[in-house]
This record gives sequence, structure tokens and C-alpha cells, in this order.
Amino acid sequence: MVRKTRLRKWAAVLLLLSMLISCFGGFSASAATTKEITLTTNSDINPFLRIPLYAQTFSSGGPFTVRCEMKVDSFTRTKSDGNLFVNITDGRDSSQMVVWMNTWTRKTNGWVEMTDSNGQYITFENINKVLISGVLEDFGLLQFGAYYGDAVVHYRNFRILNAAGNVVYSWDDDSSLEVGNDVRDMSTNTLYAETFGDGSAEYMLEESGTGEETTTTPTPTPTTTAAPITTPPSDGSTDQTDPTSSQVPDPDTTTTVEHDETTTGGEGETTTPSSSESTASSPTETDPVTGPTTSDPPSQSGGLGAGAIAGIVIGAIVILAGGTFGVLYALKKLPWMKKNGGEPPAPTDGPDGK
Amino acid sequence: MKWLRMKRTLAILSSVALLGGFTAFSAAAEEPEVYTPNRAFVIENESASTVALRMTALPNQLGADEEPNGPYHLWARMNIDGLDAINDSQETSISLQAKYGYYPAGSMDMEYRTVELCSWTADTDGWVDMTLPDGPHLTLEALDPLQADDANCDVTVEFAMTNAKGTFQIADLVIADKTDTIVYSLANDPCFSGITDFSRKQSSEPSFMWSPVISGGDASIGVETAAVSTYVPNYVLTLDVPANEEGESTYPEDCAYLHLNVKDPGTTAFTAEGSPYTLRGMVKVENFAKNDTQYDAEAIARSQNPAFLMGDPLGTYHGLTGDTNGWVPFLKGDGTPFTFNYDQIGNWYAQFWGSWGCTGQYSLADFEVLDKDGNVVYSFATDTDLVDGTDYGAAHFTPTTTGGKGGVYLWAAHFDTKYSYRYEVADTITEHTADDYALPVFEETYVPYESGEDPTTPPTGPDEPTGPDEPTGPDEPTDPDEPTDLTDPTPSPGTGATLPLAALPLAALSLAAVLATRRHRQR
Repeated sequence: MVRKTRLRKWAAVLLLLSMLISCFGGFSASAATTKEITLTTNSDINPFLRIPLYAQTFSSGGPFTVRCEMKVDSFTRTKSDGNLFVNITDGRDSSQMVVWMNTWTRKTNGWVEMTDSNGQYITFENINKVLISGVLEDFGLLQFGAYYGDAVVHYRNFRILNAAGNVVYSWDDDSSLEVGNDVRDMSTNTLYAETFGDGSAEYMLEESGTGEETTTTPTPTPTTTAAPITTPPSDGSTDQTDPTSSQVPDPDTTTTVEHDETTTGGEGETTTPSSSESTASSPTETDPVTGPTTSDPPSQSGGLGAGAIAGIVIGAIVILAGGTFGVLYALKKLPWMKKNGGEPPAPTDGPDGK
Repeated sequence: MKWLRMKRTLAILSSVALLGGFTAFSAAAEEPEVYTPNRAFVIENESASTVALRMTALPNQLGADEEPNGPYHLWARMNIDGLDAINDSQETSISLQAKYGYYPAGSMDMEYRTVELCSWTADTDGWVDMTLPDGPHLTLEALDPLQADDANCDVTVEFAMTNAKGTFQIADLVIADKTDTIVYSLANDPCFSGITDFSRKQSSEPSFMWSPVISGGDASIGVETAAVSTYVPNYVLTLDVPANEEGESTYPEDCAYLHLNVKDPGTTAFTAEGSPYTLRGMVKVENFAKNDTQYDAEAIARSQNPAFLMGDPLGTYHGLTGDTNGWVPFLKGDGTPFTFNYDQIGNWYAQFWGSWGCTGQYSLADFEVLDKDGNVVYSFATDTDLVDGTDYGAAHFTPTTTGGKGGVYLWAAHFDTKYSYRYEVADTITEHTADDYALPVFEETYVPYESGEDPTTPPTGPDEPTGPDEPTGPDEPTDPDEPTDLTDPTPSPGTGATLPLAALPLAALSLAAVLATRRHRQR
């Protein structure tokens, strides 16, 4: 009888344990993983990631919203105007090809949302033809990275949502982005690791959990007090005439991208003509997306997704239920247990141990 | 009687001699000090409402690599001449301020706090120390490379002439850290090698901390460096871009440049194994001027910021924005040589030297490329494609497969513009060593201020500044225990005017002797 009681007790404990384990195990197993790119600049002065915004994908369904979380582990300027930046080339401003959206110059306190300088998510309209270096291209460009800084920066959970709030493109769904590789070594036309520096930077793509919460997005800063926005690439020539015309990059596969830089400083300062060259491949597949034109309001607090919150709530309920079950069993209060039935409680030891 | 007259005359003559001697001595003492700076900024303002020089320094540029350093002392010599108001109805001043960048607690956005260090409103009558009125040296606050909350993450020092016509010179500026070690020296700043005109800046060099600001009128900022190059070149390639002649149909070239043949198959001498390669030589600019070409919109745009460039305009380059006054080393702005790795050259050439929206003569002498072991892989001296006395005109010149192995392309952006490359070899070849291609180094020391030293400071403005020893932000009150002397009459610089006064008692003594002699005779 005693043996049977002990067995039952053990069974109850094991049941409780298995419930807890299955609860936590299941929760952790179902916790979202995401592709994370770690940009380590090393001695490279201007490494960055370039994401083509193909008209094939983004010609309708906009405005689109760019969502990405970033975490700056370290950032030390190596030039007075060094920064981490995000810019976009989508034809929104006829006076400047590359439009600077935001810059950062300090390590973050954990993950933050990538936003523009006003604290809003970066958005862009439908992409059709975009004038890039004098050529109308079937794509725009979104770029983010480092300019003159020793930095370790993480980017994850990158996705682009259409006006309806549906994910049109995401790193996580992009099978061409293979985890465990440096982006430079990938054969993909959806993400490019670029640089105007010495090429020593690393752009490692790895899988990571989203357990660490995203902290509040940067506080919007009035433009009058914001640090001067700086262009990444160097001042200087926009010309790179080849000694022989046969060396001109193939226009079918590459595009020269130039951007101008204005020196910062006082009123009346001279403007420095400048440029930088880089390449972007031609666009390929992906279906156009359509949808109503309602924008996805940005969350000021990033936070967990709805799935994660639901998981936590369910987990908490399961734990409470398990605990309640255990307590009721110990007290013999479960409905199928006899009120005075079962085995008598085991004698407790006396003060003298007898 | 005769004896008496003689004595009297002698006494008078000696008095006159004495007075004359002292007066001459004092006059000599009043002359401005003869001072030859190692390097000086010369700001000449005709009508610009603001002319300024800004120096932005990061912690690691002032000896704070891993941990905070400072406070610092800033010391220099200065000379103000012909200071006058441009607009009589407005205040005129030359000022010095420091602006500190910092992150408030929890903020990702840098904010700035400005501290007025000093200001001047009168001529200095020659070179004087740039110090506080009572002698102490100007102070900059500590910098923190770790970007702690509220700690200074950078500093911008700004010298500004506001509504001020005249000439303002700043010489041999040094910044010494908390151990009085010089962490910055203007004279030894490699960024100014070959720079004589700093009214504009054309450089990608990240360590170039200074920037010029000219607004609302005409002004110039020159740089004078004492070292005179004695370099004697052997093999010289000169790019000559003539001035734009109005009415001529052919425009001067706005972008001529040399390419190094790195990867042209069959003719290159460079390999991945030999990398990294180092470029060295000497350069000289003469008759520099803005290119007034109207060739096309791009050429017009380039002329907005003209320079002869060292390096790759699309990568690392350093611009010479005026005559170099002799030969200077072909180096990056940080004073190190240009280098390249075979694998990093995206195309088969490397653009490394050329013109940008300017005219004049730009020469490259004794150019060599050395491999990782220091072996000369290419040099003008051995390039058989370059022939002494040849003017290559405006044709695009490609090295041949036999003679120009690893050689240079004489190139330009356009085919129908005016420019020429000329190659010349000296009659007598001068031997050179690696040291000849290095920057000169000025020996400089910083002597900390000690209490009680006589100031040689110029008059300061009547209403600023806060005391740099206790710098305060705009909203912070000045420490009452640290009087700034700003409301007190400011001591004038020593001019030697007290010396004639010293001669007066002596003269009086001599006169008394004369009178005594006379009285003695009358008795």
C-alpha cells in the first residue's frame, strides 16, 4: 500500500515535471530565430550592406516599411565625422541621389529599431525607375554600415512590409542567405557586402534567437541639434576614366553609383565634389505585391512580437495549472481522490529522530 | 676759466651721450620681437564677416587611446596686425573657443557645450604668447575615448575673426597633455606638408583635423612653413596645364592623371606575392591657379575646389591647393607612403597622381615603386619608355610591352583639351636615400606655465572670456574663486617703454654735476 502510494506520488511529480519541461521546452523550441549579420569593421573605413529594392518586388503595394533591429556593441570614430549610417536611393529627392536617413555614433543599450533621424521607420514608395548615376534603373538601393569607425554592429530580423503590413521580403525567408557564411562569399542578388575601404571588414551571417528584447527606439532628435549627416565615401573625383575603353564595367551587370558630399562647416564653405563607386547587380525574380495603402505605424518600443507574447501567456497558464495540480494532489483534493481515502500520511520523525 | 668751460662742456656732452645711449637702447627694445615660426597660419581678412580655423580632435588624436587624458594645455605664438572693424556698427573681435561633444546620460545623440577661452580686440605689436592675460596657458578639458555619459568625446578648437579686418597669425601651436607631453604639434602636422594655401581643404585624410571657414567676403588663409626643401631631383615628369584663354576653342584639361600599370597582362611587373607595394617620390606645384575651363558641367564643378592630388581621387587622396614652394614628399596626409596590394586593385590600373580643376605645373620626381621587401620594382630611372627631353603633349600615352613594364600611363579625362606631360633628366645624377623622402621634423618642447611668470600676452577683449582653468558651459556660472580678470584692466604687453625713464635720473645727475661745477667756480 505504501509502495503504491509512493508510486503515485512519484507519478504525480513526474507528471508535473514533464508538464513543466514540455512547457519550457516547447516554448523555447517555438521561440523565433532570425538571421543576424554581424558587421565587424576591422580596419575598413567604409563597409556597408546594400539591399537592392527591385521594382519587380516593390513596384506596387507601397508605401513599404523597412524593419530591422540593430545592436551596436562598440563604435569608436576614427574621423571626426565617422558614424554608422543608413541611406536610401529611391528617387525621392531629385537634388540628391543618395538620401541619408540616420546616423549613429555610440554603442546602443541592446537592440534598437533602425529608424530615420526622426525616430520613424524608414519607408519608401513604389519602386519603378530610379535614376542612379544618370541611368534609370529598375531598382533602388537601401544601404547601411559604417563610415570611419571601429565598430561591431549586429543587424537582425530585417524585413520589408507592404502597406497592408505583410512581409514582402525578409532575410529570414530568403533561402539564398546561407547561415554561417560571410555575405561577401554568398551567391545572392538580394544582399551585397560592399566597401570603399581596404576590404578587411567581416559581414558574418548567423542564426540567432530573438530572446533579447529590443529596447526603445532612439528618441527623435530635432534636426537643428542633430549631428551633421556625413556621407560615407570619400571626397574627390567623380571621374574614373579608364585608359582603355574596353575596361569600362559592363553596364548590363554593374552600375556605377556616385554620391556627392558637401563639406560641413560654416556658412559659405566650399563644396567638395565627390563620388564613390560601387556595383549592384541586376534585379531578378520575386513577385510584385499589391495591397491597400495603409502604413504600418511604427512602434516606439520595439518589444516582443505577438507570437512571443502569446507563448509567454500560454506558458504561464500551463505552469500555474501544473502547480495547482501538484498542490491539490498533495492535499488529496483532486476530485477522484477519496476525501479520507488513500494512504495515511507517513509518520514524521520525532524530535529525537525516533 | 678755460678749464672750467671744458669741464662744463664735457659734463654736458657726457649727459647727452648717456641720454642718447639709453634712448637708443630703449628704442631697440621697443621693436617687435623677431620670431621665425616653424609653421604658422596667416589669416588675412579683407571683408569676410567670419574667417575661422577649426580643429576637431578625437580622443585618440590627443593621446587618449584607451583611457581618458587631459586636461590639456594649448600654447602658441600669435600676431595681430591692422585689426579693424569691417562694419563699424558691429563688434569686432578675434576669439578662441572650445566646443566639446558629449553624450548626456542615456542619450544616443551627441550634444555640444561651448567654452569661450579668450578673445582679443587690438594689435599685438608683434609676436606674443597666446596665454591668458595674467600668464597661465589656455586649457582644454579632458577627453574620454570610452564615451561615458557626459564625458567629452571630442573637442573643436575654433579661432575666429568676426567683423575683423586685418592679419591674424597663429604659430607653432602645440597641445600638451596632463603630463605636459606634446600630443599635437602644428609644425609637425604631416597634413600641412606642401600646403601653402589653406583657404580651402581638399583631402580625404581622416587625421586632417583642421578646416578653414571663410564666409561673407574675401579672405585668405595661408600656411608658412620654415623648412626649405633642398631636394635635388633627377628624373622629373611634369604635367603642365595652361591657363584658360578666353575665346580659345580648346580648354585646359580639368582632370589629368597618371595610372600605374598594375594588372595589364604581359606588361605588369606586380604580383600578389610582392604585395604590399609602396610608392615614393617627390612632388612640386608651381603657378597654381583655378581652372576657368568651361569644357563641360563636370569640369566647371571640379574647378570649384581645385587641387593637384596625391593618391586616388576615389580612395585615399591628399590635395595640394597652392604652390608647394619647392619639393615635398609624395605622401598621404598622415605622412605615410601610399601603398597598394595587388589583389585590392579592382581594375588593372591604379590612379595615384593628377590634377583636379586647376592649372599650373605639377611635377613628380624620382618616382619609384618598392615591393614588400624594399626592392624597386618600377622607377622613372629605369623606364625606357620615358625619354629625356620629350614632351608627350596631350596624347594618351600607354607604356609599351617592352619598355614600360609596370610603368605609368600619362592620361587625362579628355582627348581634346590643353595639357602636356614633359619628362626631363638632370645632367648630374644626385644620390638619394630613403630619408630624403621623409617629412622634416621640428624639435619642439612644451614648457608649462609657472606661477609668477611675466605674461607677454596681448590686450584681451573687454567682456569675455571665462577662465579656461575652470571652463564653464554657457549656462554655468563662473567659479567666483577663480577670478577671470575680465572686468579688470588688462595688462599691456611689455613694450620697453620704461627704459627711457630709467635714463632720466642719470641725466639729472649729470646736470647736477654741471651746475655744481659752475657754482664752485662762481665762489
